[in-house]
Amino acid sequence: MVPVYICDDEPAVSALLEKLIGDQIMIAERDMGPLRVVDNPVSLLELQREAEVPAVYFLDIDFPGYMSGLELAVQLRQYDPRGFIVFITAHGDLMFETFRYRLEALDYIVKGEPSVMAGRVNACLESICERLLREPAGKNAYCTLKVFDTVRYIPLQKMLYFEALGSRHTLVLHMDDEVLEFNSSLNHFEEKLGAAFWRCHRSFLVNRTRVANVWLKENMVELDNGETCLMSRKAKAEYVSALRNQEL
Amino acid sequence: MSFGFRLSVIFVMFAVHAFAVFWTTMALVGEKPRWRWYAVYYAEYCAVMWGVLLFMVFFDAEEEIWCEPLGFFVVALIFSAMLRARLRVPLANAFGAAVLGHFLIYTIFDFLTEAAMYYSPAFDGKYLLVATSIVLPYCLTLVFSGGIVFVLNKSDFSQYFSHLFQGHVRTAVSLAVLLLLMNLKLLLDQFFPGATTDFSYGLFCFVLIVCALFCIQFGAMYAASRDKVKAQEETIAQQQAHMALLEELQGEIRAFRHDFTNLLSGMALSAQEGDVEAIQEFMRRTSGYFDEKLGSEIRQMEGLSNILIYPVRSLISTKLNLMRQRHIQVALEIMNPVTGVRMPTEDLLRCQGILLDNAIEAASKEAGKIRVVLLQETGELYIAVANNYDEQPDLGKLTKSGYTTKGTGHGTGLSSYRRLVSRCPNCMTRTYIKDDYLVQELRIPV
Repeated sequence: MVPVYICDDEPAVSALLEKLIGDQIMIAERDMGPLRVVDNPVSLLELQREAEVPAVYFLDIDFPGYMSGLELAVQLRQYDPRGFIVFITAHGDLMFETFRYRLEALDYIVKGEPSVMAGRVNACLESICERLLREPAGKNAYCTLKVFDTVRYIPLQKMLYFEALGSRHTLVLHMDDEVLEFNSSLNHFEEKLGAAFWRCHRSFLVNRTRVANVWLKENMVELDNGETCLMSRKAKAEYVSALRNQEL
Repeated sequence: MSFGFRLSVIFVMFAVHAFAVFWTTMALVGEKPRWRWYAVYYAEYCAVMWGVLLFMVFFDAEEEIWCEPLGFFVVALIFSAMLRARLRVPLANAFGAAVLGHFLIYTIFDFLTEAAMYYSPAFDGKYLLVATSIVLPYCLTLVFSGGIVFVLNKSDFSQYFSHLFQGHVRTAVSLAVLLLLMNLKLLLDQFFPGATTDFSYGLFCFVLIVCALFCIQFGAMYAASRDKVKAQEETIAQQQAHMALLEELQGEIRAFRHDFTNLLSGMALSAQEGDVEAIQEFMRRTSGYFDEKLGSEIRQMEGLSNILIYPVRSLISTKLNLMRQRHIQVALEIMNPVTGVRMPTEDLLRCQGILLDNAIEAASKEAGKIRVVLLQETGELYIAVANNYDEQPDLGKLTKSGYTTKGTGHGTGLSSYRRLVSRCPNCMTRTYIKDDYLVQELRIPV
C-alpha cells in the first residue's frame, strides 16, 4: 500500500481533495492508502516518519507562518527520495518548472472547478501507478547516491557503467537516458556494489547484467545500448580464466 | 679551493639566481610566491642547468653560445607549464612572465657584475676579490629583485601584464618581443662581435630595462583600457536590449489598458441592467486575460532582476533576446536572488552560455521550447536548462568529446563545458531526458 497525504491549510480545499482522491482510489481499486489530511507541514513531516515510503503527497504551494512548499518538499524528499509530489495551487502562475526539475515534482493541480480537478487527480494517480509498476521492488535493487544534501535511489537495472575521468576524482555514471557527473571514486562504488558490477578497466566499472558482448581482440566491452568500455589486460585474463573454469 | 667548495658555491649561486627569477616571475603573474613552489622551481632549474653545463663540458660545446639560452628557454617552458597546471595561469602568460623574469634578473646581474669589476680596487687577497666580484653582485641582485617585486605588486602590474596575452596576435607579438629581450645579449654578441661588455654596456642594459618596463606598462595600460571600453560597450548593448524589452512591455500594457477600459465599460452596462450571468461570463473570460497577455514577459523580467551577478544577468537577457528572435517559447524561472557561487564568474558565464547555446541549437525547429531554471539554495546554486527536440539525442554519444549534429568543426561546446565543470570541485552535472525534453542540470556549491 502506498500512503497518500494531503497538506493544505484551507479546509474547503483539503475536504474536496480528500473526497476526490478517495473516490478515485476506490473506483479504480488502486493499491493506495491510508489517505491522510493535515493542515500544516510540521505534522506532515511527523506523520511521514511513521508510515512507509514511497508515498504520494498533495501539497499546497505555500504555508504562511511555516515554510514554503518548496522547503517542505525538499524535507520530504530527504526521507522519501522516491515519493511522488503533486502541488496544489490557486492560480496557474506558479513556478512549476523549478518544482519539476529541482524536486522532480510530478504535476500540479489548479484549485477550481471540481470536475476539472477530478480529471487532474485521476491523471496523477494513473501515472503514479504506472511508475510504481515499472519500478523494481526491494532495497537491493537500488543504488543510493548522495549529492549535496539530496539522496537519490537509482534502480540498478537502469545503470550501465561508471567511468572515472582524469585525476580529479570525477566519476561519470551512464544510465538509460541519463548521464550523471559527480565527485567520487571508482573504488568506493566497486566496494559498495560488489559482484553485480565488473571492474573491467582502471577507469571503468560496468554493470554485469547490461554487458552485451566482450570483444577480446579489441579489448572492449560492449553494453546492450551499443556503448563500449575499455578492458584492461588484467581484467581480460581474469575473464578468460573464469570462462575456462566454467567449461571444465 | 676544494672541489666540494666550488660545487657548493655553484649550488648557492643557482639558488640565488633561481630565487630572484622565481620571485619576479610570480610577481609578474600576480601570484603569491610559496616556498614549496620555489623548491620545485629550484630543483627543475638545477636539473636543466646542470644538464646544459655537463653537455657543454662533455661535448666540447663551451664555445656554443646557444646552449645557455636554450637552457633558460627550457626552464621557463617547464615552469610555465607547472604554473598552468597548478595555478591555472594561462600558458602564454606564465611563459611570458618567466621569460621576462629571466631577462630582468640576468641583465641586472650582468650589470652588477660589470659594475663590481669596474669599481673594485685591485686586491691581492683572493677571498676579498671573491667577496666583491661574486658575493656582492649576488646580494645586490636579490635586493634589486626585491625592489622590482615591490614595485610590481604595488602597481598591480600583473593585471596589465595579462592584457598583453589576450588574443592570438597580441600574444604572439608579446612573446616574440620578450624572447628577443631574453636573448638580447646573445644577439648583440652575434651582430657586434667587437663590442666588449663593460660598465657602460651594463648601464645601457639597465636603462633598457627601465625603458622596457615603462613601455610594457604603458602598452598594457592602453590595452587594458581598450578592453575595458569594449566590455562597457557590450554592457551598454545588453542594457539597450533590456530597455527594448521594457519598451515592448510598456506598449503592451498600453494596449491592454485600452482593451480593459472597453471591457469594463461593457461590464458596467451589464451591471446596471443586473445581468448576473453576463458578469460571470465576463469574469471567467478576463481572469486569465492579463496572465495570457503579459504574464510570461513580467515573469521573465522578475526572474532577470533576481540575478544579482550582473554579467550573468546580461548574458541571460541576451540569450532570451536570441530565443525571442528565433520564435522559441521560453520559460525562465528564478525564484530566489542569485548572488554568487564558488566558481569563477567567467567559468560560470561560459558554462551558462554553452548550455543556453546548445538548447537554442537543439530546440525543435518548428515549435521550439526552452525552460531555464536557476535556484539558489543554502548550499548550492541549481541550474537547469531544458529544451525539446526534433530528434532524440543519443546520450551515450553526447558525452564523448566532439559530439555534434552540425558536422565537423563543431561540438567543442560540450567538451569544454565538461572541462570547466570538472575544474570546479564538488560540482555535479546531470543530463537526462524527461517528458520529451533534454535536461541539462548543473549544481554548483555556494
